[in-house]
Amino acid sequence: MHFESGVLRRANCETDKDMGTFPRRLHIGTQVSKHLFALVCALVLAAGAMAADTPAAPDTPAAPAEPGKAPAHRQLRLNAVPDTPPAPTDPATFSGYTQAPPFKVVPQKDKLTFYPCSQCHKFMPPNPQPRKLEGAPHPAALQHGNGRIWCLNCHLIDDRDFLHTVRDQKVDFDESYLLCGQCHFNRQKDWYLGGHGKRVYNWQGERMIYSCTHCHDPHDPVTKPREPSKAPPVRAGLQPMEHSDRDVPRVWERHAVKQPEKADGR
Amino acid sequence: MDDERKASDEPGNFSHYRRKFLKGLGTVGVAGGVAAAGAGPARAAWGGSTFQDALGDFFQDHYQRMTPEEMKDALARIERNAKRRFGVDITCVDTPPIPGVVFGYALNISKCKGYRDCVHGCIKENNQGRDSQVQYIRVLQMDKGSMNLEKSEHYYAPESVPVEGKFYLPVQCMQCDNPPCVKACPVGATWKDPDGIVVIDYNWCIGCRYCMAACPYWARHFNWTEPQIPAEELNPVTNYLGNRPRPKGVVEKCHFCTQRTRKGRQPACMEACPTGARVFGNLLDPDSEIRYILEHKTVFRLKEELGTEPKFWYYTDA
Repeated sequence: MHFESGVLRRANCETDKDMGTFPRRLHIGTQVSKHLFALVCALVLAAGAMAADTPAAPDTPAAPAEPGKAPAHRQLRLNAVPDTPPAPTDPATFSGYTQAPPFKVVPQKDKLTFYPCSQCHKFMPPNPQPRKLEGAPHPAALQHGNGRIWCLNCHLIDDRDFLHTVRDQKVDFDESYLLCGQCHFNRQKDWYLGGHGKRVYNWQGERMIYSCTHCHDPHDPVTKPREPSKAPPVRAGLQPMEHSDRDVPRVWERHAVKQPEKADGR
Repeated sequence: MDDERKASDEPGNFSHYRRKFLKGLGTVGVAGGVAAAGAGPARAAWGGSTFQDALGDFFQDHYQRMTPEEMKDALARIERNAKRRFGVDITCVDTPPIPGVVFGYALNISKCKGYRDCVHGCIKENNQGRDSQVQYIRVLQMDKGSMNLEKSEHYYAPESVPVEGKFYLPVQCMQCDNPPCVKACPVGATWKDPDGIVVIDYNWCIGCRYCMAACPYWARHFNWTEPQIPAEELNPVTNYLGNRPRPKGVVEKCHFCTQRTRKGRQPACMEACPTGARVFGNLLDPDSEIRYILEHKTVFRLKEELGTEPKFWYYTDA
């Protein structure tokens, strides 16, 4: 039983990219271990319910101690160091949401004023030192991230015509959504599946989506207030009244206020 | 397109034969009249149309009863009338609904900033009268934390939007699944098509405006005057149940841009929206954006308690 549940749990772990970090989580507080214990118990119960060859009496969590062994504190299966260390694999790359409709990103690279960046940067020695940029065309102050990030967190130092993720994947300027999603993953999910971002042309078939940077300046992402388009003409007979802000009391309201005064006067 | 439509002129349909007879009688009469009077004065006398076309319009049957030939004639008449009225060559087609599609709309009120670009995109696309104050979309400026439509303001014109402490609620035809306007129409000039769009046959509308009284969303608008559209701004791609030039004295409303959406394109308001707050799609497609929003976001519908089952949802981020 225990073994089964352990396998089950391990199988779940292996889908996790952070399998390697499990031993580090050995030193956990009692509170956390309790939760883990409850989790394991639940899994045991679930496995028991599923297994056809064990029809009765799955290991109840209330009586884990068996006569003879009786450990004071049974080590949790989860906390055990795996016998064989997990094989090193390539870092899992995010490849989008499978249920998202097929899409293309509206290209924007050709509209960038100074692109390709290498036009200038090929003459400049790369300087990885975080510093304040003073010369144009770069923004003097980066409004994005409250000082937590600077140019080379996103821009690739070796090839200025590309961006890079924290996993050092080279990313094209037109694929900047892969970069933004590293922090704004909820928005990115919405963007893939249709809850965020602007789509153009068609509602069916292959979608055309604007990239994040089409609407948000990546260096100053908050959209600025703007003048609205022309207001509708007032319909004949429906002109708003002079005091159309409803703070002015209505006739019946004024009347209702006056009545107690009358009563006082009498 | 036309041949997909069911021909409904079964023999024995008395009213059909009666109409054909009267039409023939009229045409014969006109031929004599026109020959006698000449083309010039006759044109002025029939409201910018020829007698022939005016008569054709008069005897035109209900949209759902027209045979493919009659529909072809009707479309040709619309094109001729537009040419006479605006001097522009337009194409008018009758696009049937796509099978297996029911349209739905979702609007993110967290993203709507009240720019009102959708309103103007709609005016241009749908050939609305520029001065007749017919606008399918109203963007309501509302106090944050309240849903009091009585206190909403749609004539707002500040320096810049969004205004602090306000949010914006665009309202248009909700394409109700249980549309009260359809029930109110005494002549059956408006109905719900299979793709969920509530459409109007402008030729069959008698202009009684009962539907306007029945609509709880103020989505229907009456053409008190002939819609005045600058000829260069006329959208020449039109649809019979959509944006074809309307006459005076009929009711019109948002039709989810049938001329675009039934060909797979987005409605004009969605294309005009700069923030991407508007989402349009097929409610029957489980992978569509609209379904994702309905299944994963906090959505609400306007005046849902009335039981009109609007197919227009509002949602928020979060």
